[in-house]
Amino acid sequence: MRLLKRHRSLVLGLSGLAGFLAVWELATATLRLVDPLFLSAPSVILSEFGSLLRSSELNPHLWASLKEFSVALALAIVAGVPLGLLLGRLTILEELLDPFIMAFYSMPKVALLPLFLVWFGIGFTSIFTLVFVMAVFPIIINCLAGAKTVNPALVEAARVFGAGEKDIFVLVVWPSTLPLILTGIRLGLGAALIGVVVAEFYIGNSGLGYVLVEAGATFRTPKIFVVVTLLMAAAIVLSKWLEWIERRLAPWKYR
Amino acid sequence: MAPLLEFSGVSQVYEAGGEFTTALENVTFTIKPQQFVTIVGPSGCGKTTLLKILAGLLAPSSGEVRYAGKAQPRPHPDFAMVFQDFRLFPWMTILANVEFGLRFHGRERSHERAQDLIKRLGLEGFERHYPYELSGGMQQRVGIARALCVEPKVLMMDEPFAALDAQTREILQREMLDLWEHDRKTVCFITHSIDEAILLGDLLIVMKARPGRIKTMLDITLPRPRWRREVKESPAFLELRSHIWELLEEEINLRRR
Ligand SMILES: Nc1ncnc2c1ncn2[C@@H]1O[C@H](COP(=O)(O)OP(=O)(O)OP(=O)(O)O)[C@@H](O)[C@H]1O
Ligand SMILES: [Mg+2]
Repeated sequence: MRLLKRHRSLVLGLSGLAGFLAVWELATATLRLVDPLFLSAPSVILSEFGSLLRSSELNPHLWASLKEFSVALALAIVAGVPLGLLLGRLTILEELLDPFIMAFYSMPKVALLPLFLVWFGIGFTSIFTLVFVMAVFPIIINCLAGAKTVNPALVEAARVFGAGEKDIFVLVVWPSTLPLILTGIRLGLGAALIGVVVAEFYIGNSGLGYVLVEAGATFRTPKIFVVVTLLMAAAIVLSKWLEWIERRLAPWKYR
Repeated sequence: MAPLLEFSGVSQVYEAGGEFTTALENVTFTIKPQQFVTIVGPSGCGKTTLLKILAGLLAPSSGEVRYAGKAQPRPHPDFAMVFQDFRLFPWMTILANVEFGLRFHGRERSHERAQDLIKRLGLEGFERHYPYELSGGMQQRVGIARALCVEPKVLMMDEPFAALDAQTREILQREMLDLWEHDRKTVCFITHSIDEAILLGDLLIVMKARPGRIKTMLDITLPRPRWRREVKESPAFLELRSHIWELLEEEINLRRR
């Protein structure tokens, strides 16, 4: 009973999910209320997943998507974090670039895809560029905000005890910025995932986005559900993992 | 005795948005080694500004500050400060906060010293906790431990107990005095409380309302420890207290007019 209380939200969440799947299975597989072309039963999706695993048909696509996602995200982090921090510390630069950053941050960046196709042709470079652009702006914005949240009172306290500029950066500026850097990366990661799928809808002949389009065109509904579920799982695992890192590295933020 | 700290003709003018505020005007005084100096004055009269200049955090608009005979443009390793708003580093554990200053003193070995202070200030068992897990009174104990850990020759305190309830304040005042009697440091202590200023100080400086100037300096010779009833309720104590009250009241009324 005590165990139940401690893990209440987990228990409730899992029972909700189980109930939902049960109703879904009942409505589709048992009662056949819905045309299987529109909605596959969970059991059918599971067996489709099994056969896709056995044939390893999905592997090259998973690999392609993973490559686009990780290369673009890594570069977005490498470019976005220092740029955001710099903008946060240099007001003049921020004021100069603010219109561009606001414009790009707010706009639906998928709208740029046709332009990238014109520039880079149909292929990896266009996908990469879209994913990069989608991931880098949330990172920049959050790092910029992070660099601004440094409390001058704490800088002063460090200085009284003899800290120089370098010490202040390492001991005060960096740790107070870190939580927002990680938040930026987590948001960038979500955006990158969207970017990969959307770009693959239009470009190339590999990747999970491509598999989705192809499965849709050939009415292989269970396959669509398998890929959607995989994407869902990847997004949850990655963002929970980053959240866990955030909590580990910045426990004082989660009082 | 040669003065340890000399403040000569110090003025500070702040500029904010094209407006000039004279926070201090021609302030001159000296502090002797091992003296406990308390400073009182109306709010906004420049007490914090004075302490910042003393600490080397702020260069005065004019005038000079000397420590042990030398001008000192930046915080001296002999100094430490306790702040009204604690200013603990939220990402560091209590132990790391207490040890914060040591790294700038090339004294890595003082782990024991930090532990000793943690014990003396009643923070045992909280070494691995973070500041947000502590009450206000405990956080300020950490602030005091952090300052004492570097074995400062001059300890500066800017209304360190103002944010605390009366009881905690009294406890910390006593602990503060115990520590001070133990290894007499030079202390520069700002407060809003007249009682606190009399209880703690050898020398009491009363400041005038803005622009901040020195109104009066009083040597306090009441026997220590002063929280004993026979001292706290003695005619000398009460007289001193009402005298300072009057001095401050003059300043506050002056401003109202
Ligand atoms: N950085 C600053 N820029 C502009 N004006 C300032 C600055 N710091 C302080 N002042 C002004 O200087 C005056 C003195 O401020 P200070 O903080 O030294 O007063 P204080 O005596 O410590 O007040 P309190 O008792 O309320 O803490 C005030 O009028 C304040 O508005
Ligand atoms: Mg003040």
